[in-house]
Amino acid sequence: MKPQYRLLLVSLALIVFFVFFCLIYLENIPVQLVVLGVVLLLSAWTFKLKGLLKKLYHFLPFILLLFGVYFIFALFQIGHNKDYWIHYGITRTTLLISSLMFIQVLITWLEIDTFLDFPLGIEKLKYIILGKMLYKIAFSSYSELCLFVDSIPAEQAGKITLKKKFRKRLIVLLALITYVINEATLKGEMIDERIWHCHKIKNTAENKKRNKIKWYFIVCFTVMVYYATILIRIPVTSSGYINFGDVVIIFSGLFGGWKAGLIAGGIGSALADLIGFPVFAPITLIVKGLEGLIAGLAKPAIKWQIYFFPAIAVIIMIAGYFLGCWLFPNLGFVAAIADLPGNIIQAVAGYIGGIALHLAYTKISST
Amino acid sequence: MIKIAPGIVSCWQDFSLLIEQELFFLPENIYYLQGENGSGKSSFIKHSLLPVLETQRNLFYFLYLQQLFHLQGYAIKSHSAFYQPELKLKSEWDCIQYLLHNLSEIYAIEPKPVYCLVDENLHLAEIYHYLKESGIPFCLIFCEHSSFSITEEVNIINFQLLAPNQSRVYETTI
Repeated sequence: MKPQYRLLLVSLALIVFFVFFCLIYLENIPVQLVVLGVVLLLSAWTFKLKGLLKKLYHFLPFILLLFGVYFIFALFQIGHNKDYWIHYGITRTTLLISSLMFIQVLITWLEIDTFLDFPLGIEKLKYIILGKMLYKIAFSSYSELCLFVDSIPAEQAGKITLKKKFRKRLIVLLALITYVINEATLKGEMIDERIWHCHKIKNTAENKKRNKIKWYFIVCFTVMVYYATILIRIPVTSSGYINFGDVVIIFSGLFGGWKAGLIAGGIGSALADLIGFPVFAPITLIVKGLEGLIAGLAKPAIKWQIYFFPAIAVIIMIAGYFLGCWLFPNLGFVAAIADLPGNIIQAVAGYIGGIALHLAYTKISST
Repeated sequence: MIKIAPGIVSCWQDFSLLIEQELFFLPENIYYLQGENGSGKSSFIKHSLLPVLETQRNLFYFLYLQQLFHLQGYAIKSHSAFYQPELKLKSEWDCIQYLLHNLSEIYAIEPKPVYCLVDENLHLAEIYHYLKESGIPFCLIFCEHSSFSITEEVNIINFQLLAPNQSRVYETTI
């Protein structure tokens, strides 16, 4: 099937699912349970039983947290009676699981190579080509960088605390970002030269003057936000974890300005959500895009701005997720409450880590 | 002391090491990994020695210097950017010195023997002399194609290619 038809089919399936089960039949428990059964069967067929269980295990902490909040609301009859909250809880939770799994099944139909087959000009395809290259570079270097940081004696002494774990991940992330930025520069320049040589399309002096941030840095940060969100994590309790996506969003804004922050934050995080928690992807696209944009308003030369704009950015991230979850039909107010503590921890980690990473990068890049 | 059990160690899909007898690596000893290119010396360090050392962090420190230093340089520079931002690490030797000084500082606070694994690094002689002069009890495990003269007794771990996909590993002493 042609890639553009495949994308069209996936989009149609998503729209149909959303209209029927998130709007028309939202309050119908039997329909929601049937949908859940069908989606789980489809997922078991796509991912095999072991893969399905692994994915459900990944969602488990959030589902349990949600159950806990519904339970409290039903127990104390907050705003409505017990029956209302039981009905609300069953429909929202089943819909959440079925939509998470359904989108994951749909995503398996779209791989990055599908987009490479799109009838786009080389000027657009170069973003996908470089993104794929940089992701492979990041993926193959991360575990080695962890080993190299582990083999520094200071990292082997003393007790392993949360603070130490956080700082160690930041060190690895700094090494990875520095490496990927250098690779992006080399490969980006090379791609531009090849395009000029083979297609006589200039990227070019005029573009370079117009855009302060080069295109390959934006690709680089988008890949790094995606990578840090899905793969660089620290468990903080028995059921939750901090990911380093926000750290990279703040860094991208401070390094590349509002445009880099907006694109890397929005697209990188939304892509990561499509793999992990797809129902959040539309909210993430807007909220994390805004987070990056606001962080990027800081002028790195003015010190107070480095601290001020990222603080506003993470506050907007917390508020944005709260409102987004509340207004989203298959999530609602309870999901917004359940999601709040995690987002606050995530925001604090993103703020501290993002600024620390920016300051350390400034030092490393000056050598 | 660290021990490597006898058996077949699968390093990657098409290559394994046949370890004939149990190998012991004792502190204050030197081990030379000897064998032709592609016989699995670097793989032995990565797949056998490092995993054992990582599980025994409470007993030993370890230093590992990789053959291709490029990526390791990024890791060391990043570490220094957080802990000693005033330092400017430019060359490979600057980075190695940072590691060695870091070891000395940590050793002064919490003394433990160190296992130093050097995979074809140009600065092997300097590393050896630094460790010798520092007074830190160390076990040096290295592979090196150029000449490296040591007056001490050296244990040799031989890597003999049996087939393109397997090497035999055994110990001799000189």
